[in-house]
Amino acid sequence: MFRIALGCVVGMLSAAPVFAQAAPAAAPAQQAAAPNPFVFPGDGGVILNFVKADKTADFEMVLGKVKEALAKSEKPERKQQATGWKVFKASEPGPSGAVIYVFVMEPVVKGGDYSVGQILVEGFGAEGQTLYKTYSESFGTPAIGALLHLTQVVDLGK
Amino acid sequence: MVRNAVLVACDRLAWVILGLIVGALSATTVFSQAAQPPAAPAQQAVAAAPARVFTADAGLVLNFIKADKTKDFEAVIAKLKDALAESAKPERQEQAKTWRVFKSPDPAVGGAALYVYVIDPPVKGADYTVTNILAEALSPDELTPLTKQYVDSYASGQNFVNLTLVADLGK
Repeated sequence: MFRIALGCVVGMLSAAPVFAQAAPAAAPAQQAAAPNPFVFPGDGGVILNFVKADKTADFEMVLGKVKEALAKSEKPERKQQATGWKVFKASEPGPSGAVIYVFVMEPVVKGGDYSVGQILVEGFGAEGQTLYKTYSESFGTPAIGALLHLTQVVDLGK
Repeated sequence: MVRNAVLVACDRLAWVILGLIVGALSATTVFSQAAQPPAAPAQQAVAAAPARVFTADAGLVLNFIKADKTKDFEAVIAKLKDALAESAKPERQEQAKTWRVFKSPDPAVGGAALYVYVIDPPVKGADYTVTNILAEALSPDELTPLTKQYVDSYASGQNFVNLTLVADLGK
């Protein structure tokens, strides 16, 4: 019963237009206009990242660099992004022993680009590309479990 | 260049692999504590559901709600807010302060709506079971239909994730 329920839940996520930005087989011109999934138009965002168990140090090292890049950026919105961006590690293991890191962005900066690669290159130039490579290589398979654009329904304390 | 790489990666990782990702999730223990349907009304009226306690720095709950039941679900959430605010237990008010309910604007498969509880930080040792909180505030006559409404609104169970803070990028 429990496994069946779990499968259902996952199945719903898998087919969900939660990832609707990924319009399949779009023409090149359409692709250029596709919205950046790392821009959150609502009130919050959540990303589940699956990281190889032996690459967590690399992943966390790069996140340290992301933090540094956001802090030293001359763009005010980058500092604002940092204020509402937390990184968590799930207690529960992921697929194939992967470690699940969860980004919670709340509140989000409207129009802000939360692409890690973009932030690294802005902050560190060519070194940022190397860091991004390290970051990319730390991911397991699959890499991202969910990328959710969220609108607040209620703050139970207000 | 990197931007393109990121977006391409996103397309590959988030969109194309989505099926695999979800498949992987289904087979993992990521949500092993969860995927539990809310307590049934009859059970709820008789005995409290098992306590849902978040033991780490934050908690995340994914709720898949039937598209035609979102108003019912949100009505229960409104009752939950009242129950927390009016509780004589100090920890209930503390729970409310850091408990937010979000909705994904994108429908899930089958047209279900995805609601996400973000609880950051949780109150240590506090029970976050919605039906238990409602049971503290409502009479059995009120509780039973409301619990049924809550349970019936689910397209599937809930997923719970316990989260330990790795980095607050703003501090």
